[in-house]
Amino acid sequence: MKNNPLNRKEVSMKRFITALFIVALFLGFTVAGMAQTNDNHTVSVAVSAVDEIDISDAAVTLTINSATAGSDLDAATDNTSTLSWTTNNASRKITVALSAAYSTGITLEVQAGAPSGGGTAMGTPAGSYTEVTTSDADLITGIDKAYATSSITYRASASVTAGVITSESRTVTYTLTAGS
Amino acid sequence: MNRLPAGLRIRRQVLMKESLKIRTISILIAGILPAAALMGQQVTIDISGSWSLTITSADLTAGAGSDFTSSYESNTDQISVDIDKVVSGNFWDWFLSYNWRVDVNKQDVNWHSDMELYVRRTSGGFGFGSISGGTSYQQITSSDRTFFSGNGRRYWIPLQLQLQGMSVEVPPGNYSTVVYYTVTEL
Repeated sequence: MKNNPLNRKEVSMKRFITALFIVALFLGFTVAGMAQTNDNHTVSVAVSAVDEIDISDAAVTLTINSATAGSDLDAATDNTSTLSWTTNNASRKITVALSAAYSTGITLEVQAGAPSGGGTAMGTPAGSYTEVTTSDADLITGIDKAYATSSITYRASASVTAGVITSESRTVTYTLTAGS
Repeated sequence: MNRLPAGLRIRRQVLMKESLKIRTISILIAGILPAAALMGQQVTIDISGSWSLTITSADLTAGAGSDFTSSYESNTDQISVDIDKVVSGNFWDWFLSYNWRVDVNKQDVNWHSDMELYVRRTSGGFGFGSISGGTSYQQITSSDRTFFSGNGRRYWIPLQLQLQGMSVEVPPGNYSTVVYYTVTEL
């Protein structure tokens, strides 16, 4: 029986059918598995922390050279500068400081005008002149995710006790920093 | 003519009947089963690409004292879409005619409410069927909206994305959303 050609044919046919069945099933499942009615992609946006500040005038000259008889020297003022800032952070303020002290008897003050711009809160300038010293002084506070520009007025005053001073140059630094 | 012994003749007749039965089953398996699977084949969509952008101080419109540029655009082919339906699995699938529509929506992972995302189709891609709609920017929201529609296989449909609403009021951070495209056979 082992060598019967009919038996061999039967076994061969069964193997063929089994193989065909497996192929058919595989084909069916493979094709069905490819169906995809939706797909997607991602959109990512990274927003960096931005704190930018800029003062318009590179140099301002204030000359004290007059007085009213019977009074101290007249103060000198300059309002040609503007201060601009942009921040996307909350709780920011602008401070002002001097690089080194002037001679005794000389005082520099600064005042910021009402800011114009946009955002959540542009900030509130100090109400009056702020004396500029070597220590940071708050000039504009309460800035919250905003951009704005403000006029800057300098006022320099000198006492007669300071005597005659040819020129004294100092750097005024504005800093946009964390704080309310 | 018939040289086989009687026992083997009967055996051969039985085998011939079985062989006929097996052939019938074979036809069913080889033909009907795959055909049934293919007839149920859906129109598919495949999306390639993504879009990432970083907002820095360089994006301020005029430096300190100004806001960020409010609108940003991706490349015109930032995203590529393939619409397909495999029936025969060969060249003739390019000539099949079936109508479809693509809808779009987004699901936010971490997104700011000020930011708006728009999408448009910048060309028709490649295919022998047709494609229409979706060439003007339309906002992507959390609800499905019809984007464009067409007929037949269509490959390499380029999409452009636009982000609007950026400002300093969007706090620093990483924002992301997933844009879903759904194809429906009509």
